[in-house]
Amino acid sequence: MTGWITIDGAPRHIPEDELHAYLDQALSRSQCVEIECHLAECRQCRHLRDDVAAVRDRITALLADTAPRRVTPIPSYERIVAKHQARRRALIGRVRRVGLIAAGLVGAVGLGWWMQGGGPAGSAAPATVAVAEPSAETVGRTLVAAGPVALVADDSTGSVVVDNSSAVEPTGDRIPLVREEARTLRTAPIRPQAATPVVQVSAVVPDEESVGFEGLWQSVDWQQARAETGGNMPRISGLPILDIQLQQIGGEERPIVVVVQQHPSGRLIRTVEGPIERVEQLLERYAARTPGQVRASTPALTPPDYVSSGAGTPRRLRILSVIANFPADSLNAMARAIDVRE
Amino acid sequence: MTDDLERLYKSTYTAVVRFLYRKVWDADRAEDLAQEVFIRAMSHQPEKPRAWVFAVAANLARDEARAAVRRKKHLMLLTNDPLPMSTPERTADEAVEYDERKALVNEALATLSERDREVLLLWDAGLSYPEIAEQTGLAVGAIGTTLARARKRLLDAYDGMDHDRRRAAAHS
Repeated sequence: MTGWITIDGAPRHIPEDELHAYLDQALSRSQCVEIECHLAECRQCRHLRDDVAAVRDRITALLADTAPRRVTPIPSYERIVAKHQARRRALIGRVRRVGLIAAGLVGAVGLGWWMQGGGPAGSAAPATVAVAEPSAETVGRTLVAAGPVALVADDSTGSVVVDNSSAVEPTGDRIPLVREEARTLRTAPIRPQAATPVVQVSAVVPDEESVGFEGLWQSVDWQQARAETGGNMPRISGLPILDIQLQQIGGEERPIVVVVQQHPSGRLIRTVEGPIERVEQLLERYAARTPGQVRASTPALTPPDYVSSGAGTPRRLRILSVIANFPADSLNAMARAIDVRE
Repeated sequence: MTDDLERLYKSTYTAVVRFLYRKVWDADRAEDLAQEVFIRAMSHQPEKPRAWVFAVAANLARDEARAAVRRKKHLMLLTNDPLPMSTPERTADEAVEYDERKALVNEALATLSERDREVLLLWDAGLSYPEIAEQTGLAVGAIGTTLARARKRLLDAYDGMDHDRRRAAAHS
């Protein structure tokens, strides 16, 4: 392959690129032997080899010198596996939610068709439709039923039951359509009891600041929060954690996280971490609700999300902010002390 | 396969971070991207995981560069007091020296053609010639030539810039 020893009987020197490959140990054993035999006899090629080695060493040193100095240990493989599993769980949950919503819609359309005479004659028996697992999308919608309905919202199970047992009796083959004022279920915070409270606090905890956190929030324990966030849990070390609340976003993005901790003075400190747009919205809403009472730290960047899409993996910026009734300097200092990664 | 991936993770993670760092010049981002690469590897279970990992890392770094341009405006709002997540401990002098060197290497790397830079960085990350060839689409025999050219050009560019910097410092 090398062919640099002779051309038409005339000696030829080793090409520079082959010396690079030789020093990079990228040649076969026979090629190496060929080169070493030539080097043993050729002073010019030995000089060239030394020059190439010097260039190679300088490049190595230059790149190594500017390599990032590791100050945190390499994350354990188990952590990567946990992140992978959390992502899979989120994907499965999303598919399940979409399926349930689709099934609910199909059921509702079918019921409407049946109520308007599409079903078999005389079979207009009172029906009950249960829409399971309300999500942020379904809870906030207006439900319009074809007939007088009683809406029963059961917070413990999260189900909404539409009962038309008091509907007007059918006269003839066709059920008269009675329109009634549309009823709206308002979005409200749902906070199911966490399986294991993070910290038991006997003192009464003032919770007036929470008014800014609208939407569907879920209180979770530490283990669940770690699984959902892939281990990126913002918290101020040394302070007890009273509550961890998550708001799902959908897609492959991690949820918005609010970690509630208590300062020794008794005041609550909330650390909000999530996608930049969501956290900014939340901070604006929060500031509007509690003017002059509670402050927020300067937002700081946290590890971003990478969301798969057809066009690649866009990076979604995430930030955190500390919210509490403290001076801004103290809040910024707290934000700097926050440890997001484990 | 899982064991293979775990072995690969333990032996290659640092190299992947290093490879990504040369492209994004941010230690935290490089770490984030490296973890993303291995999480994806778990889903895809590639046949040649080592080459696959570096190929995906290169793609992520490319996406990152495009996104960086888009979010420049957004970051203006956040430069107030960003959290130093893992800023290495250095003295002030060391930090200045390090930053200058890093900037020079960055600039010198930017003078290379994309193919030369890619080959050089893959070599620096520890890939063999056949692996580099597979990833870049070059013939194995062309890797030595490309590396020789890239190394020489990088050093020439770096030395030239370093010379200019020292001369400017002497005049000021």
